[in-house]
Amino acid sequence: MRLALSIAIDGIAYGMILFMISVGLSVTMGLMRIVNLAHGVFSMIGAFTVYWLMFRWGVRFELAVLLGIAFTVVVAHPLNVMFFRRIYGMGDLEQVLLTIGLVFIAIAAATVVFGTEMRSLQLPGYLQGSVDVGVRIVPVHRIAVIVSGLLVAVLLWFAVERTRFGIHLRAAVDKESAASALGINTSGVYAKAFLLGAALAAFGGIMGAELMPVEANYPLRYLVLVLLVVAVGGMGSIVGTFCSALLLGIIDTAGRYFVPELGTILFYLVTMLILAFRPDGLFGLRGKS
Amino acid sequence: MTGQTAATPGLRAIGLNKAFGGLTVASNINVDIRPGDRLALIGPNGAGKTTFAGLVTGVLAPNSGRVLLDGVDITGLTQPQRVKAGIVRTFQITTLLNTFTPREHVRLAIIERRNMGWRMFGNAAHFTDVEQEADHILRQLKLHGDADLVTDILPYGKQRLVEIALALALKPRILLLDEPAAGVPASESKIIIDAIRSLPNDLGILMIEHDMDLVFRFASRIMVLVAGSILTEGTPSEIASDSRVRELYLGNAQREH
Amino acid sequence: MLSNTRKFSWVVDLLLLAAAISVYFIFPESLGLGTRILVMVLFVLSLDLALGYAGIPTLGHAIVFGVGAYAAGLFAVHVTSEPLAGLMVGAVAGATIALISGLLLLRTNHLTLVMISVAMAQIAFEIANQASAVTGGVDGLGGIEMQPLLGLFEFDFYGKTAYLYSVAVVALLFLVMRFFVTSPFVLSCQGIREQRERMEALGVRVYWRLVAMYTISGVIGGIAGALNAQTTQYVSLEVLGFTLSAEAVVMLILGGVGRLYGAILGTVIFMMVHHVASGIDPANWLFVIGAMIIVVVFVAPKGVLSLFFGPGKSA
Repeated sequence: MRLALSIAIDGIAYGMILFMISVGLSVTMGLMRIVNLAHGVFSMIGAFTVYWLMFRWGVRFELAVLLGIAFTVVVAHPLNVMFFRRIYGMGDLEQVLLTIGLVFIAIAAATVVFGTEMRSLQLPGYLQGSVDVGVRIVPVHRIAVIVSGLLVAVLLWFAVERTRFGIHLRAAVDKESAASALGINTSGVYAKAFLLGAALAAFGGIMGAELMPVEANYPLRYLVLVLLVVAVGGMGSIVGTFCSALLLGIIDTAGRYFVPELGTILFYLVTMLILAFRPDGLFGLRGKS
Repeated sequence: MTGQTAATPGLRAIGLNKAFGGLTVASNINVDIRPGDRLALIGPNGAGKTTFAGLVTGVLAPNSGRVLLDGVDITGLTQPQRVKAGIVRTFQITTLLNTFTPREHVRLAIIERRNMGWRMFGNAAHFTDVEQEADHILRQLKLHGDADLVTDILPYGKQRLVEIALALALKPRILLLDEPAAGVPASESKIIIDAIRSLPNDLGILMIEHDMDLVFRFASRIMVLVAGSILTEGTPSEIASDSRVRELYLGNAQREH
Repeated sequence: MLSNTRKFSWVVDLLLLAAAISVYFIFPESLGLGTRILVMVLFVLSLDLALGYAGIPTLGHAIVFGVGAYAAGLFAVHVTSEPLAGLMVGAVAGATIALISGLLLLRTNHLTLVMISVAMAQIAFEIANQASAVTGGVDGLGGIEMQPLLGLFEFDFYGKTAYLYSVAVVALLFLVMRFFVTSPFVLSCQGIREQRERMEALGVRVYWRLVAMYTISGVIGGIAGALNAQTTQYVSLEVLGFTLSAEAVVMLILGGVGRLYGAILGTVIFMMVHHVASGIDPANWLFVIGAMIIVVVFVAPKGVLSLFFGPGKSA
């Protein structure tokens, strides 16, 4: 059925974007146990930087993407050291508030620089247009998103399962005290994971700019969405985030196709139901509950 | 299960089994706690003492087996329900209400015991009989001097006493003391021992402890738990002279060196 | 010692009431702002019951406010616009939504609870958005014309009646809450907030206490929403918005969680700063509030009140 294929492609593409944006948050929430409502800021920074480089300086798309991700990481590092490390031991509510404060400041800064309008990113020629895959005509961009998402997933899997960093990461997520006692530099692991998460969020924000246009209000607008993806997947679980992002992406897209009047209600209902039965998420490793 | 018609007072656990996934943490546990009993449960770390406490108090549901109180099957009762029936526990790690004072703790416990916890009007601190009872308990445990200080700032030993005060306020029939002396510096342990000694005689007490000194001073019966099953049970002198128990503790000590 | 504190707080109560009434005479042009502040005070007080006293970390409390607002607004438009009846409708609506959502919400804990509370409020938001034939959707619900209060006091254009009406409602409910929070029930909720497990070990069925407290906070929150609808004669979608929930949490934590005076103080400070800052430059309002939140949480995590009176159990 062509409709099913449309939904699948759009839903999977959307899911891939959600995955890339949310995976960093899942890991740092599972690792650092910090409720970080400001994660969307990294996506915003990535996308806005690309926009600015291309629009203002005429930089090529590919270079702009690399620079955008790099800049986000550069911003993320001092934020981690000066801010997130400090709030590590605080209670849930304090962390929620502090990160909301950070979001507000970021939105204000973005408004000052970019105003309140949505900005679109000009994709290079090879990403524009559509391609005929036989059964359907698919926008090239969607394919690019799906491929990037899969690449990211595979690379992450490889990094986590095969590298030393990955082993340390898994140990630290599993039981921080034991990992530390084994001589693993947990704060170094946290820092790297945090930066990696920020970089991925930036990449996701850039690639997803067509579905989720960048604007000053971006971090708030998509906050609930990202948090729910993480919660449903299970904090700390990359596989969980991948599955929940795809699941929720497809459900949301299907919902829009079949029952547009119900809009996002269906999405929230499904997430609520899942969380009601599995409060730690589908693949919850260490929940806060 | 056999023809016991007269209801035996006290708590009986019959054939309790508990497994998490493939891991058996409790296997064929049988315990009898009569009014006035002073029973101690000892065993090496990881033997399943916490699981045992959970099964008795209703925090954990057994995979099979029964728990009877005065002959009545209470296996299906939740922890709050068992508390109402008279089975009370103290916590191994002090689980107190940090911003409350000892007096407020005891007041709350008495209020709950008297089923006044749903009252939405009337100042909780102004019920004379509640306050008198609270005062009495605090004096009994020699906490009356610190009664109005926030529990957070009290020395650890006194915090453990508040745990015991809460237990007393609930007027239990069966009391489970989970490592009452755990973490208490030697200089303060006397107050814990005195407090335990002053507990009512008709109360059936099960104490889980590591501190052998305390165990031998307190218990009239000792039960040894190893890897989820009961190794043996007997009087203190029987246990002290049991070669398997000696091996358990001496053997462990040797391995640590 | 105890009785002195109690006498002292009666003095504070009277001073607050006097201050509220004097605003009527001193700042007759700002009564609209004053009324908005009073409505928020009531809403944040309701949040204080759930979050401050019982420790229910909800980021979706707008749901009781919004449902109360829409219920009262629709009641005024379609049934009768008698004000006090509208307040009752708001109260019942708030209680009902709190009860229904609480039954599910309170099965969860910590972060999951936060998430589900947000999701629930968003669902309500979407429903109100979609049901635009009834609610007016994005355009909001207008055409609310209130009958004279008690048949005597007309709701005038300057908001004078609305203001004194709000003062009376908030003062009365505050008084009721002052008594309520000293009760054994609330004491047990505070215990649950501190150590849930401990309370179960005292024989308390924690879930039902929390459902009850959440429902009660829904009553107050619903009345706040109704008051909002009646005094502004309009209900916008934002009454169910995440921003409202988040700002209420900020106001409460700013003033001091778990203290009634904290709710009042935090709300007044926040709304006044908002008013002044957005008058100067609306875009920079977010800078100000973001910075304010961060400073407050780092410097006085138990709220401004704790700087003066120490971290309390309650006040």
